Amino acid sequence: MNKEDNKDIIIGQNITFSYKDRIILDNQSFSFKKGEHIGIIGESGSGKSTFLKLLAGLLSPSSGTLSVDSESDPTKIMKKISMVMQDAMIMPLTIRENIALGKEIKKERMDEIIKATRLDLWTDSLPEGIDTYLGERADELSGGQAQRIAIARAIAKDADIILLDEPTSSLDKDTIKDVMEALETLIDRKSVIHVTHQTDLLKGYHRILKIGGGRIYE
Amino acid sequence: MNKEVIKMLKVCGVWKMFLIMLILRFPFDILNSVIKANLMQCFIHMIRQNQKENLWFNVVLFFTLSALLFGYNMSIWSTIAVKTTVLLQTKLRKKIYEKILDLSPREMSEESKGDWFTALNNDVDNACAYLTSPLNYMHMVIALVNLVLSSIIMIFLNVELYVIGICCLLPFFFLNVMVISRKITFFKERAKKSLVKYTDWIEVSLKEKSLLSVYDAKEFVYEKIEKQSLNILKENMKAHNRMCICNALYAFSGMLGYLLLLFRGSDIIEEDKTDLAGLTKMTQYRSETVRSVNCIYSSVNNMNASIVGVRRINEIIGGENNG
Repeated sequence: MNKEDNKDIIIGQNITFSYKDRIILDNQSFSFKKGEHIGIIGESGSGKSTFLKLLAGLLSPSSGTLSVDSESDPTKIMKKISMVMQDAMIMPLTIRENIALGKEIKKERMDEIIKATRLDLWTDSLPEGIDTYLGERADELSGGQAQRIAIARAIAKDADIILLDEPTSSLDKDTIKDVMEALETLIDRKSVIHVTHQTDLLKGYHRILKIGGGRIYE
Repeated sequence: MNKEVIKMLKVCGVWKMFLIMLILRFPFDILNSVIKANLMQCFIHMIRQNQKENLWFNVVLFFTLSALLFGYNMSIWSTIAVKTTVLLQTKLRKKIYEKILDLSPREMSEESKGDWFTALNNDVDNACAYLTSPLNYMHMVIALVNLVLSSIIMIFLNVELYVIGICCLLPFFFLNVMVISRKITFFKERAKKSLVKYTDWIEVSLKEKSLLSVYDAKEFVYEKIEKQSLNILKENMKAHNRMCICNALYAFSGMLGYLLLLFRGSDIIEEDKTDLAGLTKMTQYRSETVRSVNCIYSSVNNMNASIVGVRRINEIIGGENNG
């Protein structure tokens, strides 16, 4: 972590948060520093994924304040983060459109993203390359291909904060290795909050926190 | 009957019930035509001969016969029709659902979720509409029988007036069926494809709400939904416009035939070959032929639109035959 960047980028103060009649956080305070890589673990159903949605501004706390990169307005928070979930969102579009999602991305930048996520190993074999229409066949993509598209989308957004929600949990061992390589490009020099059951994926992370019983603790 | 429809009815095992429904509907239209034509002739006769007491008797008789006929149609036949429709809908949905459950994940992924939703809802509705809704297959067959029987009666009454009437109808009928309405199926197929894509995008917008917010892509997805929605509207409008042209041509041909019939009819009355009551009876039967041809026009158009659903259902449940 760079010392110059040693400031808190996410600050939660006295946050109480329930979801579907279950208390996820009960008057908890926490802070994550810029460039810090945080692993979040916990039992199934402890609210790890819901916690990520809270950080992303998709859900609001019942009480307390949450600030993400000095913003507390959920719409502005969303602009500061990228998210990769367990199930990659693949739409009936071309690979390029699935990455750009309607935004203008220059060819050089797109080529960089495709190489960084190693999507080129696959797209180079396709007659229409990254302009291949996934359409109704989107479900036929392998988990690794779909997840690499999701990571490419996150890289394209170039947000400072990356939220990862078990992005490799549905993949086999060989594919996990490939996807982790792509993830490393995404999280390099970014603030990362990574929810996972697979603690071995959190090697080298600055802190590992646990969620459970309404608390978040080291 | 269309091969695709027979196949679907056999697979669902409801073709006997459908046949009974069809046979039970036949007497209604032709009896209605005969009652109307004969009573109109009687009324004119009685008015001309000043037989007011008989006129009242005939009014009551006409009312009673019509009430019995419509009572039969609205109670007995309608009950059977509703039961057959519900049974057909249930069986079709069950067959499609069973087929979906039998598919391997790979086969399942060959179609989008929008395809399956459209098959279970819109396609089933289309197939049932083809068979049982007004102005579809059922009415076309009944109208055809009515047309043939009305034509036989007209030929028996006066061949010349029949030829005048039919010559004004048939060219327009063939123009409509062979040229104008032909593309309706094509437009409806394109509308159906857009409906599948529309359903897919709706699913994306609901399922991926969180990620769409994070990537600021809600507007992008709404544009896709709007585009498909407009495509559905555009293709349906094209089909609708064709139907409007067909209806306009039908109205024109009907009016032309009526005028020619009256011109020639007045000559025939002058020649003492018939009287006003006879001409009225003739125009009643002619109205029935026009109504039947119009019903066939509209039914063919609607069937062209609905057959898309039947084809898609057969593609899904095809291969089975337990009829």
